[in-house]
Amino acid sequence: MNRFSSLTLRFLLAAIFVAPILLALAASFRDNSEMYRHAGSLSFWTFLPSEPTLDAYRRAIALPRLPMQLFNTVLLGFVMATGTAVSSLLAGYALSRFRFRGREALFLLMLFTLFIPVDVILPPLFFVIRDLGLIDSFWGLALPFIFSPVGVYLIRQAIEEVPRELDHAASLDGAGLWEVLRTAILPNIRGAVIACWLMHFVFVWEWYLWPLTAMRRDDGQLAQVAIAGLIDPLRSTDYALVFAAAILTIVPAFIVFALLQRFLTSSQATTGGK
Amino acid sequence: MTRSALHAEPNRRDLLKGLSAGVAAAALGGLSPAFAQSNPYAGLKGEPLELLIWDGGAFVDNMMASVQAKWSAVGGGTLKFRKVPFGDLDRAVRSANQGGAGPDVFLANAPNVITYKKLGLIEPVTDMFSKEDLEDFFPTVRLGSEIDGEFYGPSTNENGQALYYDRQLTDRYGIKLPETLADAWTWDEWLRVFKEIQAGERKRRGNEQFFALYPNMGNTGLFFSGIFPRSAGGKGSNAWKMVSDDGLKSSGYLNSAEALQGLQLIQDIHHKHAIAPVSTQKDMFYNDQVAFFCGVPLYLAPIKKARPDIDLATAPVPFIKTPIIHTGSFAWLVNRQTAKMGDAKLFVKFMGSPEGNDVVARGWTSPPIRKSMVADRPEFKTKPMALFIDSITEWSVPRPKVPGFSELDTMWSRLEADIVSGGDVKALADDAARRIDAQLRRYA
Amino acid sequence: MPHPTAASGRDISRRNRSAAFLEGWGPALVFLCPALVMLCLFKLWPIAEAIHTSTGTFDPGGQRIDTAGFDNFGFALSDSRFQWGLWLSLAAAIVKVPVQLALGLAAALMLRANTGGNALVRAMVISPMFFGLPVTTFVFAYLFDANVGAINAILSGIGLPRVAWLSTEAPAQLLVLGLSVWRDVGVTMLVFLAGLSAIPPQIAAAARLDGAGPLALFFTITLPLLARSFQFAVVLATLASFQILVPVLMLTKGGPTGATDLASFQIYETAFSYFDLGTASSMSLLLLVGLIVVIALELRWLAVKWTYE
Repeated sequence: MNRFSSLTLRFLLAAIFVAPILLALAASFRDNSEMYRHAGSLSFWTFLPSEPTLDAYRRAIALPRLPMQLFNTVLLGFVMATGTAVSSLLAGYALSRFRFRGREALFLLMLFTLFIPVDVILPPLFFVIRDLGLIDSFWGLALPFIFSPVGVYLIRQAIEEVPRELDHAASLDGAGLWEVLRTAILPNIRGAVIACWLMHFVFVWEWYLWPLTAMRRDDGQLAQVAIAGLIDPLRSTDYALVFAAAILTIVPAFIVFALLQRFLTSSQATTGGK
Repeated sequence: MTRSALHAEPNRRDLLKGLSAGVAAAALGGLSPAFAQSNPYAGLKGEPLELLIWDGGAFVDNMMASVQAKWSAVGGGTLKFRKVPFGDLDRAVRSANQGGAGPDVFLANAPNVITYKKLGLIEPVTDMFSKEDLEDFFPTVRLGSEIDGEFYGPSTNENGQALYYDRQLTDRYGIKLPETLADAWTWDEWLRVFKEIQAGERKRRGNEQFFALYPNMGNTGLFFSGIFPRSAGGKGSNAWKMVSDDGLKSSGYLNSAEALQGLQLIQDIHHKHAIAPVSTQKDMFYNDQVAFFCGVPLYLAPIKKARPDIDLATAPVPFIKTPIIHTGSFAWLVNRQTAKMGDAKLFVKFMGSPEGNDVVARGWTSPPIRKSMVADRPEFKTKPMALFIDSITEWSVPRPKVPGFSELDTMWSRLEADIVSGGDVKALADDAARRIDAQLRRYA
Repeated sequence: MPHPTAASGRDISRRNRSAAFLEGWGPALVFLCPALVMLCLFKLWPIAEAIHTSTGTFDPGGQRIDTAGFDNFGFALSDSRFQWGLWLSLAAAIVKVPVQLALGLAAALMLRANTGGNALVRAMVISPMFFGLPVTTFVFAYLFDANVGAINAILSGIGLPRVAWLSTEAPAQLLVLGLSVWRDVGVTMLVFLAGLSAIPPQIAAAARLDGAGPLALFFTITLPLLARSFQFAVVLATLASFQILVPVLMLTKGGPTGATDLASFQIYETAFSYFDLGTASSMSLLLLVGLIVVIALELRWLAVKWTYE
């Protein structure tokens, strides 16, 4: 009974989150008229294609710039996530373990910038990137987000929870600052670092307004922004094509997440005994 | 914002190209002076041009590929495209020159021409078009792009409006609908027919989600819905004008007593009469879920594709007091800061020429911008599409000529959505007019 | 404050104020350098730019034409629409944060064990994020269409009345908030998963030895030890609720009759549809101040003062 109910709960949970995506997946196998013919009233075919076709995927793959744009998204994800994880790790270490005048103030300042919603400072950020001459470039997209207060916060909190005796012990053994970070702290906060990396990797897929504003070259654009361009308010949107292209773009993110998510838990369980 | 003129020195290759073109022209001129004089694209350097256009998917890609082929044939260079989502076009044009000179040519929503001129973003191309050219254009093409005696660029096509429907459906009820502008009906007459057909079809299909009319609101700004308040007033009345003559005031116009009648009708067709769906999915007509589709010629191709078997017919759009439709589409404009001014202007000239415009107008299954070109488009001389040409010549007005058209359009869309959702029409219109005026005042 | 047993040999106590062995800016600077450069360039500079912009009057082309002092702030604050937008943003946070935290925590607790099945479900919970905001919004627009949407087909199929989701006030609000929660629960779950993984298993084991049941274990051990994650998740969810933008932009445009006219959307519209940069910047700064006040209150309520020693 217990096992059954926990399975049911998991299934329900998964269903809530993937149902809209599954519907989009189903819709990617049907054309507009087939979709609408059954949409007004409830039947099996409201959700499932009655004449499934792979045509939309064929057209999505044939979109001339989609592969390049998908590559941009993935590359940006890697660059941003790695940059954020590294800069946050270093800063979090300094802010947690070092004592210097103004440390708390600096941390508060970083926290303060955490509260600035990206969309809210979009126009001034655009002007800054413009003044740096980085408009329409990959680094113009990436650089503003390689440092993230969210990451610093996450990692500093994690380091705070690492017992100080561990690095005291390591430094007594003669380890330098980098050594302490590498051998005493990093293994204990692996979960947080990977969570930070993964979170920022995934964040790239959420981006819309920033790339729309700061990247105006077609071949430099991110896939999800380019897909939004397929939504045609003038004639009629080709739903199947939009959904098929969107499903193609989430594949890399899904693979990376599936590979890494097991590191998110129980890092402490395996290394906590050290 | 950088406003430095970026007139790059022509490099050696350009010079050589220009020189050889000059030599060729001279040689040709020696042989046949008439030809040299009549080459409309003399001075073309064949430079690559960048165009800012909205992303219309494969359909626009294919069309622009044909444009490229014809442009190359007259000696033009490679065309590159900077594409933005449709809804982002205005912002993209306004910020195009930030961070260095932007694309050489803009494809912009035609009513925004006056805004871009006011902001100093575009260069007039008056010298590219002869008096005969300008007179050959449909009047609204000129009306939209002519400011203070200067012409800023031709449209991509003409538009017109009419109701599409399937004659087999109306025949079922023995209903005879007007087919020419002279017989056009007012809303009162139409509402009776809409209700009859909707009730009959709902019963026949057993589907309560069948509607009489898709009024094409929701994402078209005031192109379709704006004619409701405008048609409620007499020609030249405040309601008909929608904004004051100087384009800076909508209070007393948009919310005048007559205009309010039209705005109320927008609400009533969705609620009181309930003959229009609140959904904004255009596919409802393509998929036989509405009887009438208020549209432009652009929809002909998707209709033919989705419903090849219907007996397609058109009827003049309903009106309250004065028959009126909006025309105008997109305009080709030259970026004032382009470093390739010569070729950019010639490209716009090319897009206004019969051979350039033909590709785009046909691509959009729309009427061309020149009266002389209609002769080559037989489909617009016969039913059902001839009605669009008639509506262009007899009923059409451009959308209100306002320096901040994009602001007006945004606020209008908001007003329209609020009215459709069932809010108090007068309160909403008063508030909208006040806010529109506050934005327009910034252009005074 | 938690007061678990000390059986694991690790005390949880007030922060030990013993002398640190790392003093001074010198070594810290090396580690802080990348973060500091980025902080100054891409966080502080834009804010300075926003502050400067907020004190000017701009023409619709984005050119500064006059100095406005604090007029823009006065104008924004006295505008009934913006006042409403600020309240609406606050209300969005008040609804979204607890719902999202409850769901995220429940999901994290349910899926904390590392099994293949859990891994799959975790990936599914987070999958809405991969889809890209414009596309998920588009999917919702298709699902919730009043006349041809699948949700209304289900409703009418089981005998319930159809709902005009996007043109009725409460359903539109529900839809925008629901979409936002649905997307962000995955992040909250990630935060709690990381927090759970940092709890030394010895503590729970010790409590279980002491005879604590699952509920007691949750309320006396797990929840208090998750306090930091809790704090972080609350801050993230609050931030997200103050910047719900793309769904409003694509679905409701602030309507119907102002029901979803969030401050963030008004800022976007003022900046990018009206090109009134001065007013938009002052609106941004006002929203920012409101946000900081809200988050400061939250942090005060959720203050964490313990650390493992």
